[in-house]
Amino acid sequence: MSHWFWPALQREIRASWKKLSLSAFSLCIGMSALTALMLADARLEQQTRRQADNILGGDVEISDVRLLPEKLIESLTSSPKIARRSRVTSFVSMANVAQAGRPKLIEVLAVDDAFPLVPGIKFKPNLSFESLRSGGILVENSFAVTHGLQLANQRISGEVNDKTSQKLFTERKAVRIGKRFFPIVGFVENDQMRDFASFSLGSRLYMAREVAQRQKLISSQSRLRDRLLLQFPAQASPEATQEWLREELKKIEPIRPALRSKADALNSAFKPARSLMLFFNAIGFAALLLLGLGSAQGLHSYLQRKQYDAKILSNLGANRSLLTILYVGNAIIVSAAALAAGAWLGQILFQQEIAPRLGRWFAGGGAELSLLNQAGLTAKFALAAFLLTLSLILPGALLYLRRGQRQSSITALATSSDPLPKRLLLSFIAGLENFPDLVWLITALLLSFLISSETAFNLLLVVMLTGLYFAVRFLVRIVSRLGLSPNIRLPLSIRLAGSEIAARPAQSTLTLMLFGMSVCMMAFMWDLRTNIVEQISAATSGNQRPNVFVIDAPPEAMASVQEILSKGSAPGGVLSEKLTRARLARINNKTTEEWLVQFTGSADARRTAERLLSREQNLTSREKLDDRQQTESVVAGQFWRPDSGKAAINEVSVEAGIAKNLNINLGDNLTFDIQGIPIKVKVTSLRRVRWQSFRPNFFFVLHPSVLSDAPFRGIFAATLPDNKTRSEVLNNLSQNHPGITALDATELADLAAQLLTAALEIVGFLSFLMFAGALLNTFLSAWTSFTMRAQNFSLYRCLGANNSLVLRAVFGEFTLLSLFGCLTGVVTSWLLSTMVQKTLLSVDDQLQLRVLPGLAITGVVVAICCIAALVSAILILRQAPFRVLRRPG
Amino acid sequence: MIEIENVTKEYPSPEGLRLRILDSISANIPSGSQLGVVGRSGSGKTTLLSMIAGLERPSTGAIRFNGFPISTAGEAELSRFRAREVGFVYQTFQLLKHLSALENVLIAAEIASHPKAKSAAQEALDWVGLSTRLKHRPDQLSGGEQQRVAIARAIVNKPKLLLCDEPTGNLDPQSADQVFRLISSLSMELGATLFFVTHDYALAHQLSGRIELERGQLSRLQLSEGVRP
Repeated sequence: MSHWFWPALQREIRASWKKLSLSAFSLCIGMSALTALMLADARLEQQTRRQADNILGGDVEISDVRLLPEKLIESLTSSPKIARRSRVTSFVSMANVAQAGRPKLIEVLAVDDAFPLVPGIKFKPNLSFESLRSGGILVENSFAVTHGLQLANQRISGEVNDKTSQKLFTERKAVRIGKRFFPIVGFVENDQMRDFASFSLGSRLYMAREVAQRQKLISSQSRLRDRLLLQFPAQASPEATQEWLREELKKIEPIRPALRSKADALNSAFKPARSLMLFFNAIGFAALLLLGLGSAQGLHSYLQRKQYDAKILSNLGANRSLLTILYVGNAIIVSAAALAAGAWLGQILFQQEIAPRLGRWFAGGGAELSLLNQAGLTAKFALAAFLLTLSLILPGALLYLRRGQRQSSITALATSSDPLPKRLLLSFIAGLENFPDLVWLITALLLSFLISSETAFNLLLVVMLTGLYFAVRFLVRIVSRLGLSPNIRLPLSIRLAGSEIAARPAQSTLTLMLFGMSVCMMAFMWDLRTNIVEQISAATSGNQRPNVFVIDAPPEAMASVQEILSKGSAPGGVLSEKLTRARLARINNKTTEEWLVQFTGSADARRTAERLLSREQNLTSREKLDDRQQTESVVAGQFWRPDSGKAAINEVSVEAGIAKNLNINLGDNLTFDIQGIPIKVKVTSLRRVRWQSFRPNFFFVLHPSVLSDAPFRGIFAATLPDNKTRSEVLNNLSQNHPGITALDATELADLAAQLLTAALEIVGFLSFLMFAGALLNTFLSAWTSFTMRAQNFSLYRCLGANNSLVLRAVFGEFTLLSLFGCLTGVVTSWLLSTMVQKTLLSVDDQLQLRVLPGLAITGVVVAICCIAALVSAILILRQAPFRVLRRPG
Repeated sequence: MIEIENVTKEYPSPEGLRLRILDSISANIPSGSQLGVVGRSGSGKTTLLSMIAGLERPSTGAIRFNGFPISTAGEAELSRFRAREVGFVYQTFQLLKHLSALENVLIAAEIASHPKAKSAAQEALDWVGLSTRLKHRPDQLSGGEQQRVAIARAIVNKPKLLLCDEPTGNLDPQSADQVFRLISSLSMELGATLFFVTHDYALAHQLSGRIELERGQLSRLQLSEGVRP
């Protein structure tokens, strides 16, 4: 390397750092957004994988919503193919804690002495099954902390009239379930992944299964989930053993328990969080991408200017390759420093902002995860960032600094007989010459596959960015037409503004995209907040909406439950429905297995159908639909007429969504298996149900004559006016009916709203980052294009344009860019909100699109852009036009 | 008549001193004169043109054009003056690359609020012999053609003052000669006063008058009517 190179590089770094600082800052913001999100994603995945065993609790799980047949358990226990087994029966109940006001919804896990099969759950003190067998319970840490519970070091009878039991209860060393006290013999560390796996119905309490049975908390009529966790011998093949188990389960008729493998459990546990994180990742990567493109503008502007210097130094005898390395090296050093700073800031952002907001999911603390101790992640990051940097910088080098040594790429390509790789490279460079922004976009999108192998993530990103890109290109084209075309009559200032936008199409496109993206995120967040969070709150507030639900009331308890609920609510404030459990056994006389064989659709659709067919369905009966108009409506066929006069109407009305998922159409015959008795009905109508109504709704509604002899359970929805009444009613219910589940919907809605709000806060935070980046890029864009803008406006001034016209034209340019950017963002946000609501969150309601927030954001953006315009205009007007026009290049 | 009265122009230097670019220049130039402005680099030629156009103000002294006080007029008046009375031609053409030839000329007519801007632009391009290249962009034209577009833009508003800053500096001798003849004939046709800055003394001698500047001072002023054959 020549002796002049290193001093020249040092001088170049010193001289250019100020000029490159805006580009670097922009890249830094993008990188920090991406790092923060990817750390969150990595943490989530790490936690999930770490706890994969615990999610299921064994190699496989056999489960049913009724008690598993004893014969099956015996046969599996005696088989040499099974090393160990543990039976866990879970059910929902209400627990009372001293001075806690209303009873708390809990999930009881009734376990046997083999629990836990997988040593993933931590107990304090160590689990002693004897203490459980004698009536003790284990409670989750969070539950204990929330209610100030302590360990009880003595045995109690648990009887309601026993003074010792009562004393322990008062001292918060025991919990009351129904009319019986259970001393606390240990604490269980919270199972974090439970938050992902399902929307939890309360804290977990563990007790011995035999105690639960003895206390009649478990019975054949209870709403429960009975699980048999199995562990295979070490040398056994999991696949072969699972196959054997499937065959064994086929012998059970008529209704088989479900079989779930560890992989299934992992998939279902991670899916909701995964969807959310994919979405966050897409936003983060889009942020990096757009801000990276923005900074690329700055870098290219730098390299472009260096053409002149390179020419001079080349004439002085410097090697052109070394010159290229000099300027590209400088740009790479600055970019690498910006990316490193961004990654560091991203970690801080994750630890300070994201992890605390998602505390429930990241209970392990944010500090332990750092890029340094995540070797794989670091390598992936470094590679992606390096390639992105190269893709941003190298084309500029090839274009600006090496141009003198080669002919036009397109010409070279047309006449080239070079090998394919060289022709591909030439095509890439030729593309860069003609569509630089599009080539950058495609390159960066391809790089996204390096960061994530998730097809959904990449597709979301591709759809989001290419959609936005083409929309924006279209807008730039329209604005260009506003330019100086002699056929369009508009005020001269607007036409000059349009002409300026058209003069720098790639830069204008990028500025519009950045505004579009950031405004889109902000408006999207607003939409989700207003449409979903407020919707959930609204659904459970107000005098007319049910806010307490009682499910699974046995027929003999229905009158009592009705009475308890009626005491607290206004007349007519208690809705009740009969619920009959059944399995869908046949569709058009084909078994569900046969139906699935001929099922057409994607793998996802097939899995959904499998899941729906394997689970128990809740049926209800109704004479008419008239009083349900608010929450459901017939979308196809006809609901039976109440005055038809027929003794039995063997018809069923199916919810449109499940009908679509199962390929069920009008006229199909469905056979339900209700405790071994087949009921055959014909589909005569499809209904659209408004699930957000917070009223009892059902997938399958039959005529009462069909279910008149079927066993049923009661389900109630009551509107209770205030907190105090709700507490009294729930206390009353838990004491008199410990086996039934009563839900306070306001608490659930609060929890859902909190979760969504936390997620939206992160989106908000990121959109703020992107917004800051977009503004930064506006200034960057104004700065990099200043020379050209100054030249054009100096010319206009020489041609007689006065200061006012110059000001109006510069303002016009910035206002048009920001206005169109914001409008694109708002429209994209509406599309995105709809997509996310329908796919990720499965909300069918019509979107309530708000215009005002969009206008407010647009106003802010336009105002800030006007400041950039003012700065730019002042700088232009301070220059002597004649001198500007005499400057080289 | 252009009256230049004791005009001095100074700029602050990076060392905090005052750099005198023009020093006590005085001249009365009759309307319709065709003047070659010559002098070494840094002698103040461009600064003089810039002040005659009202783009810069003299530090001391005054400049008037047909009684209009260029050196003291307000910004709006000066803009109107430049739009209607002045035409510029530059060495580097200064065409907007993203606009067609017609649009480049049209912009000057529109800034001057010409009532028939489009037809005036077409007529101007016709004058310079580019009526068939209206929709071509600068990068689709040769250097000489680009300069002719710039000349069309300068004359579209039929100015009374034509300021040319080394318009032949970037052209080959043949194109330079064509451009020179075009400018001088058009200025004569319009009855405009022509200031033609050049380093080429041969070209300057072809014009009827000459201003020679040396270190910011007027070393020679020669005025006479008509163009030499």
